Amino acid sequence: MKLFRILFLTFIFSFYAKAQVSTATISISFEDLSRVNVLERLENLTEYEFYYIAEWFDDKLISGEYKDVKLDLLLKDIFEGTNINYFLIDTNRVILTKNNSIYNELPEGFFGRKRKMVSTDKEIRKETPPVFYDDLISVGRKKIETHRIGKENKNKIQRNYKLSGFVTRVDTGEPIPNLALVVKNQNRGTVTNEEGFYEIELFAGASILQVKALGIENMEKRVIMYNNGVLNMELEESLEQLDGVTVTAEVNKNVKDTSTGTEEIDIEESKNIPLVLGERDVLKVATALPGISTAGEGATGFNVRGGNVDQNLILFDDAVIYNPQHFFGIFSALNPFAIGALNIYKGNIPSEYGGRLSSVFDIKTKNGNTENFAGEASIGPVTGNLLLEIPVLKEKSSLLIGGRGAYADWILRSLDEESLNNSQASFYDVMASYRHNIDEKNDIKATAYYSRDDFSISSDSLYIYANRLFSFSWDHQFSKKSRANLVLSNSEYKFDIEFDSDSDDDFNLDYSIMETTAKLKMNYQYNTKLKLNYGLESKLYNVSPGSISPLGSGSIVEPFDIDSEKALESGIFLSGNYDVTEKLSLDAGIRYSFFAALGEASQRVFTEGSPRNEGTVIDTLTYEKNEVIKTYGGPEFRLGARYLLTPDFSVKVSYNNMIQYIHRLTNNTTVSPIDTWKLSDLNIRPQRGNQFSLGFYKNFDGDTYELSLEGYYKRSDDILDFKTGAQLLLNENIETEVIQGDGKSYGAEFLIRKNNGKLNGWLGYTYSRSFIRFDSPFSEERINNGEFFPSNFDRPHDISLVANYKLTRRFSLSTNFVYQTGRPVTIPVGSFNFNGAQFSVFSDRNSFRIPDFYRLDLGLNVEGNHKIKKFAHSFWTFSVYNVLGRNNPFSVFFVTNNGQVKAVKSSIFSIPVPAITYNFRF
Amino acid sequence: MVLVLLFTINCTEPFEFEAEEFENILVIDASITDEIKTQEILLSRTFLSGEEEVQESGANVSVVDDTGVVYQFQELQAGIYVSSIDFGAVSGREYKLNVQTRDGVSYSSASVSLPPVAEIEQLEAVRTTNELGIDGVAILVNAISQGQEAGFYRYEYEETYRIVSLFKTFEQLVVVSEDPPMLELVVKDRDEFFCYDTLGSNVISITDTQSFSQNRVSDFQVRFIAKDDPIISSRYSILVKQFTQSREANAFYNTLQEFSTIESIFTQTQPGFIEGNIRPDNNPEEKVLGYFEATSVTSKRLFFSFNDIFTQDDPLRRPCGDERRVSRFDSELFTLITSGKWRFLSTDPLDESQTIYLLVKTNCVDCTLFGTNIKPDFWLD
Repeated sequence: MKLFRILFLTFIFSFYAKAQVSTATISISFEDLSRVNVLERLENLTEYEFYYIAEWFDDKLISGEYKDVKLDLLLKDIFEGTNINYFLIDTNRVILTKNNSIYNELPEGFFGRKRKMVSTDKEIRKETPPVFYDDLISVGRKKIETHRIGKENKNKIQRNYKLSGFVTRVDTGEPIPNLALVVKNQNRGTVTNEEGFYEIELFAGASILQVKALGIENMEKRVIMYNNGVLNMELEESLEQLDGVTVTAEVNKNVKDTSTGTEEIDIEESKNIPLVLGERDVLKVATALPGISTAGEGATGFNVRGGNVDQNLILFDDAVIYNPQHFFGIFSALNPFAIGALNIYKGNIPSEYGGRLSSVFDIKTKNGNTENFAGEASIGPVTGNLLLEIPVLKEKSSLLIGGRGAYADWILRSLDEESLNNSQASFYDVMASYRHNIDEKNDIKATAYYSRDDFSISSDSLYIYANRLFSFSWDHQFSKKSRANLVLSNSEYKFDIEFDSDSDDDFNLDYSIMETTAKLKMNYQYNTKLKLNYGLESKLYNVSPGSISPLGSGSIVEPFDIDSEKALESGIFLSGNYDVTEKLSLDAGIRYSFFAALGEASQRVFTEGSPRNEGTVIDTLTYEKNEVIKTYGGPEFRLGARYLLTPDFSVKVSYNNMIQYIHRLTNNTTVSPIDTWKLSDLNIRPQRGNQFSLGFYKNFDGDTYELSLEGYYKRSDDILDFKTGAQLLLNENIETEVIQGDGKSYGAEFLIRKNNGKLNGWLGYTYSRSFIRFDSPFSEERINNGEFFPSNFDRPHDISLVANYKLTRRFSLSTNFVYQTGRPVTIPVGSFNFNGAQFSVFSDRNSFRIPDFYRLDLGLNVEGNHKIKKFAHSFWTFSVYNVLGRNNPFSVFFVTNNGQVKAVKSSIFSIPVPAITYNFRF
Repeated sequence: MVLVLLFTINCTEPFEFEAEEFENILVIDASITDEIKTQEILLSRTFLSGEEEVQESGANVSVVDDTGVVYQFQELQAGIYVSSIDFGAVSGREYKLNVQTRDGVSYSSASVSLPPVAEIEQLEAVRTTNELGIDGVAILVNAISQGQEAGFYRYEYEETYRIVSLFKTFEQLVVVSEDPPMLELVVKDRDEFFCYDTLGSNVISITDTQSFSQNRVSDFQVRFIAKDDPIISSRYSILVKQFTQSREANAFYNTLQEFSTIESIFTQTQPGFIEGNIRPDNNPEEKVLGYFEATSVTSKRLFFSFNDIFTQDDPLRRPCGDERRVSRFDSELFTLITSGKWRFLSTDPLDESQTIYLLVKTNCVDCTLFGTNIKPDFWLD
């Protein structure tokens, strides 16, 4: 929007030279407000809209009180002592200019230069201004060239006539493709084709034709249509400075975006947030935002707006990453230095994304330095971390290489503590990303990533899990208005359990899921009001749901493989963002997704109307290779609307529906790295979700404070759960263990954020509930009597405070406080004796809550010397995690020990954990 | 990671909670074996943790086979029902349990049949170091079944160990007169040096051969005893019973085990109501806990002495405490002996007058505090 304003502004300058002010009167009072704020007040108070660049104004505060004054007088006072001029156009739009820098510095003759006009029609002649234009317009009118097109035919008067012609560059004579020609104050326009040719229908009589494109001088022409005709134009390059545009385009971005529920993590800012063991972790920062939470400190994954952990699509340079965390979610598996941007969509998810119900985490690596060799490194108590930026072709391409590893394992082993000798945990992740700017129109980026964790809790089993991904992205710009992005990616997640106890039952258990995706996305900016995105995506899944093999020569374990699964998931999408008016913007998208489970496979058929178990199997169907087993699909709507109540206050609504064809199987209370993913098949249906959200967004003091309040209501169908005690690993017949039910969640998310100043950070409060229901006529497929009950991650109250205070240029203090309602747990409804021992009897799920969670972390950041010539720029972080030493319970267990039941609670970090991390950049 | 693991390992502590709702549910612990004997079925009810177990009395219990033969059970003691006649489950037959409680609710089980027998091939005691790095002895089972089908096994054991008093005494002080207080040194009339105690297992111990190429159990550990556990300080015997189970019965025990242990603090199996193979006949909503199974049982006994396993070491003995020297004329002697806490060890060998008695704590000379002095019939020294 702001972009448009600026374009409009520079354009308007060409035609107005003198201030004009309407005669309506205004009453306003203000005290100690910046001029920008005063203007915003005026906008709220009156019909006037002001067009300006905030940077023109200093921070000086002004006061004043006016009663029934004319705008003219008021503005004169406000801009006293500044070099701001003002112009009123139409009846309520006020254009501000900074005299010296814009108008006066333009080269002489830039405006109003006579252009050579070529017309095939002999009737072209200069026109005098029509009398019906008011004075205001007539001031600038002299600068608009007028063209009369066609010969009037009294016998054949039409409402519309066709105007066509070629647009070329005045200096080179090259055609200008993709140039927008818009009819002022009418909802019509066209774009030139590759040859610079255009064609447009205009009303008979006078119209103002506006020509707009970045890099091309904006211009208006008055065209009076008497008949069909031709108008060729030669245009000049513009002197537009893009820098100013980009900056202002961000103003009130959060307010003006059409979509609800989007979060952007500022990677640079997040480095100050104290985290466990001093590890920088953008994903942990994300969980401090409303609507994104975890089931606890040692829980893998995220729960977004009451959704399951498997409902998040996590993309790393457009490739799916199945488990972006190390060691049960305590550390992120993403090199913090390599990340350029993290955008999270939890509300209105753009139609280009699909396949998960709750959210999209779009993580992009940063672009490497193409000028100089650069790097960043950190040394902490647990990990060492290095990122190098290597220019390959100067100003064209660069390579980013990052590596990170935990080196604490050897310390662990060298300790004398006996019980720790058999525990180990180590992990590493490496990434490389190459970006090449081939030419102005083509960019390519290739990324590779690998992460691996090894851990063992007992001496004889070792768990290994790994993510691997490749992605290749090609951006091509067809024209200024039209661009395409092609992504090819391949991701794999696998885990392996090695059981090695030197006996004949030693085994190796493997699982892997791989997906290969191709996605083509096209962006087309039809005009400043309408933007289109469309494209298609297709991915092929290959899953090895489990195999076991003997480990060592003495093992008698029989090799066994569960038949692999294969499926194709495709989607086509189209979305348009349309600015209906300045205030109202609509975002409408549709994605049609389609899923086909493919052979070769065998699928069991069960008696209709009976619980699924061994006894109700009536048939087993076998499918050939690539034969379609079952298809699912449907339209997914992504609708959003934004209305600007004032320029910095908006209301947005959105509706979404999504389909998810892949499920994470877990019968644990919290997910773990060795949970498998399962594709939908004949017996397991895809999950479907709907979400409505409504939000209010308000910025104060320019962009200093952002305030938002969002509410959502979500329903989901066919989410998965399992029968009590289901065994999921190496189970060929998962469908007999699965039950599918529905979910319901709702919440309100409040966030206040301060973006700049000595003290910055945010405070979020979320009230949210998440319920699930599994009902069936058969008791074995029913949970809690078939009624809604709180999910394992239902944590109604969630408060997060992240604050950073700059003491001096070098020292800053940061803090992080979290409070969450304790998560629901299942507790016994009694005890019973069986087999000579006492056991707990469980009945209703999640009828109890563990104590509330709260934690305070503090950090002190010390920046190194700011000497320019210094080799490296260093940065120390001293942090204490869980300063209060709160023993936050994570789980409760009811253990039968020596024949007696004992209730115990476990926690992950029960005492303050100090850490020092040293970072440096070169 | 050092820090992380230190915390994670030392971080479980007792947890207090109040069960908000108690559910009173019938519990059926029923298995019949292939041994021809008086079969036993236990009925109880769930109870609040910390309170006494409630037995289910007055129920009508019977097992019926697929030929229509009904084996009636009678209540021996509260909650313990025994078969009126001796019988054993026979391979090829199907059995069904019927229970009708005193309040008239009836339950019946699914039909179960006897799984194939698997013999315990070998039972051995092997010195080993467990997962926590503790030195001790593992009792390992090896078994093989003729059938090629996967086998499911459950183990119970009964361990008997010999207790040896620290001191062997032949005499004791007995009260001959309360008033005046008089003691007399007499020859002991019973063995207080060797005693025996027998304990049953109370852990779920199951295994299966599902993923193996043979239906063979090898080196399955049914019991681990730390080296410093006093029960193996002298001589120890264990009777291991192997029950062959059905897949479903094994799954039931497996779930029960999962819900009652901590495998890792990061992953907790979602607990829930465990449905066995017994259902109410009329009201499907009525809950019932437990399992009825027919199992074939085989057993094997093993003996070992401490030094059979730990050849180089000495066993850790129960501490005994200090001796007391008391004059036979001291009036305190009578008080100490009659308290039952002190016993005569000997006269002080350094005392020429032989009037000073050495007393020790009762547990140093009388092992009957810990077990019976009757040697079990099966015992082999």
